[in-house]
Amino acid sequence: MLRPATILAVLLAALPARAEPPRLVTAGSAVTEIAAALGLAPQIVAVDTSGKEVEGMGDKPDVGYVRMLGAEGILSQKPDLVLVSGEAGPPSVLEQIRAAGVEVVVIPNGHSLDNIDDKVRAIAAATGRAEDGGKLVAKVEADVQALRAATSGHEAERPGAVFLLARHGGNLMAAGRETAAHAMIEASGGRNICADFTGYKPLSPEIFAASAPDFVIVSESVGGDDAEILAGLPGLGATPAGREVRIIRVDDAAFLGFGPRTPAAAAAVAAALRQP
Amino acid sequence: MNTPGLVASDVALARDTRRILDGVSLAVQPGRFLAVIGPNGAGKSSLLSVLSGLWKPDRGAVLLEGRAIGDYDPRERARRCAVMRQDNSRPAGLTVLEAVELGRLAHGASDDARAAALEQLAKMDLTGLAGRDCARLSGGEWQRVAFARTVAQIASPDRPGVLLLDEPVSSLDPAHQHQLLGEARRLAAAGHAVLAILHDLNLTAQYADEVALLAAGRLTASGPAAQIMHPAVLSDLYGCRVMAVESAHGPARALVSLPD
Amino acid sequence: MNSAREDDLRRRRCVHRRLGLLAALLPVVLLAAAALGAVNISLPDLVKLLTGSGEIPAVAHAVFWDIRMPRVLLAALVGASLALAGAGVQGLFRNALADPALIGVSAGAALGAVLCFYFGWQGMLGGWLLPVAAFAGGWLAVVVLGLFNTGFAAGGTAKLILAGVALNAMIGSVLGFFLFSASDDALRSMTFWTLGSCAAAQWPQVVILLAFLVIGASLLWRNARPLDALQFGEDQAAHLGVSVSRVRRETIVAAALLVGAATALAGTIGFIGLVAPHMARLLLGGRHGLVLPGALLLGAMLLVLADLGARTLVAPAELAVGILTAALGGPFFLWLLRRPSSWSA
Repeated sequence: MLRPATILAVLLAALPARAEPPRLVTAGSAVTEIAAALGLAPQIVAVDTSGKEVEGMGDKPDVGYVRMLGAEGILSQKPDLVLVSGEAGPPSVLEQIRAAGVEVVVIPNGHSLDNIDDKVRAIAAATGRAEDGGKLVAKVEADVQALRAATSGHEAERPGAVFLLARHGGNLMAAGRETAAHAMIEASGGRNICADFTGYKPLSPEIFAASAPDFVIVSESVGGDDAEILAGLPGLGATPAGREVRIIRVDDAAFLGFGPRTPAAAAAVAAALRQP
Repeated sequence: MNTPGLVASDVALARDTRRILDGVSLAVQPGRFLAVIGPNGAGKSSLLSVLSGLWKPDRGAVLLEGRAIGDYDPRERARRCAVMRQDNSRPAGLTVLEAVELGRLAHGASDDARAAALEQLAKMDLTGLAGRDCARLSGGEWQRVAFARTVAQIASPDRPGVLLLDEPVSSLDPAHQHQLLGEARRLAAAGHAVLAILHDLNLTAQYADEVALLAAGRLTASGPAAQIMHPAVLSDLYGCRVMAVESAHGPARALVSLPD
Repeated sequence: MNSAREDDLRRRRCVHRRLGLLAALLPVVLLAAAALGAVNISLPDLVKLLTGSGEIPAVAHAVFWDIRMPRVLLAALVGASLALAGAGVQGLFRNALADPALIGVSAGAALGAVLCFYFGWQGMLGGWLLPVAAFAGGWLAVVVLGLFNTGFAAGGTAKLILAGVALNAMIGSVLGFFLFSASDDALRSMTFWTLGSCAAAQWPQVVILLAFLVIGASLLWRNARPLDALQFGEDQAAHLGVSVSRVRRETIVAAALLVGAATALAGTIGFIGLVAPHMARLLLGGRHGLVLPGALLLGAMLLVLADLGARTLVAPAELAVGILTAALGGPFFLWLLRRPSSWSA
């Protein structure tokens, strides 16, 4: 005759194991941010180097630079799901992770504010957080609407702006077309005065030849105070007297990441641009 | 026709409009020891480069055993003609035995290089150094090792070869000078054709059968040693005073050079 | 004379034994490196993986056979290739400090890769465009070097070195231009690549590099004794029957193949090509018949160990393996400098 305790033990063992929440590895700052905003932070077991900047992720293990991930490193965190942004690589590493039986979902990079909700929906779908996803999408869309409202209707008076970042070694680079910065300047109601070239170009006197900027939007990578930065900009001596060039500093991940904080970052810049 | 030995006919060589050799003809015959002497810059080493086939002359021909030296496959030529140059770098990390074995490179893999090398080392009284690292030899020891290697290169039971030596005793003490040149002379007697560039007048007189005088790229005289090694000829050649000193002891006479 | 013969036999036996030890050590090092990594695989599981018996969790199987084994083997092959090329180039230039970079192949390969990153082409052809471009860049550099030098037959080795220096400077300036004007992301990728990494290793790469290693090694092996003779000086080697121009050409081609392929697959990794041949000479003497296989074995083991460090020291992230080889190579050279003599080259 089996004892009740034994029967109970057998029954418990036969029950399907209580589902643990899936362990996540995220790579790409926007992906990590969105996942955290969806409330997935406790499930995220490791992030890439840029992901560590996201609030609350500082203590998570670092799996490396998003473009140079290591398969074994990620697998050692025993993930159930790996979420990566579009530039994650090398491609063979993603393949190796899949071959080990772990799902890898690539969230394509967007380059406009409208893509943010696509990313949110994709991540929500992959992690079964449809409801939280819906809420975040709504918030993002609301932010974007507000931004559009604030910046529309001033086409003729868009202030000239340039976005600068600093390369290792101190050279300042200006953003041309086909950069996230360009899209964000335009979205913030400004006009990128460096739109005649694509990609980033080192600062040189010709860059401001056509027109001098009213605003200089500066990445957090650029050091020095406002006066130092202004002094370092070539060709500004030609500005008419009394014209002031103003510096706006931004958080790179928020302003350029096309993540959940991006609309708000753009709104802040838009507000700064509208100041007389 | 297979004329043995090394024969140069009317060889000329110029570099950057400078005439280095001008119509030199000489023969290194089997069984003979030919010494080439002359002032510095006369072109002696260049002559050796041409005779050995390393440089092509602008004019004239060099025949090794009746065949143009340039027609030989490098290994075939190396088996018949060995050259000992003055400036030999020392191979890092090789023992003396290994260095001498390399002399047999042209003989291929089936050759018992080690035995040949040990034999030559024994003849040069260098067996004790066989295991020494080449870097740790004195200049004189290295020169003797290089000579052993050169002889090993053409050592063969049935076929004599040609030995071209560029100042082979320049770093040696008197005893070893005699030993090496004595060995060279023995090799000539055994049938090899030996040419040596020398500076020491007495050694030349003692060991060479024939002597050729080279000055400014031209062969000014050549003939039996007894004839050429004459004070008047030599003073003329070198431009300093050369005297013959008779002596009751040792060699019948010694040649002494003095400043002008 | 007999005792000299016996001493020599004893010496050779000792040296051959050392080489045998190195050969026996290699599989041990490979296995140890395959056993360790960011993912913990227990010893019983390892045995099961190697013998193919028993049940193994899928992740462990994938990690061991699809990720780690190809990587360890690639590291071994890259290390072996770089070391062999280094030994050949050191023999050819008669200089213990010579590095295959002298013939411009590393700089050319770097240029090929940098161009790929600059234009964002690195993912093309299923990721294969990058190594192909790097390999092509390496070869182009060597061909240009040959043109500078009017073919490798003409001119002496000193001229070749000077031509190589000029070539490296020119490639360096072109590289600098691309680095200077690259986007931030491309620059990060370029930097990582030039620091070297065996992370993108998969079985096809292993097979390809093995093929290159076999070809390069055969070319060098044929020239082992001629390279020995070359140490007497080029003229004297010619007198010994060596076709100096042929040795020069084959050695450079072999070095270009080996370094080109290794760099194409693993980025620029320094010091192995310098350190491994040196260690081989210290252990085995100067004969290329021993230095070549010795360098191959030592180079393989060194890079496998460096790669092990690269993937475990900051796990789950990774270090670029070139950093580790430099960190080990620098002090090694300082130590070498302090040794008495035997620097004559």
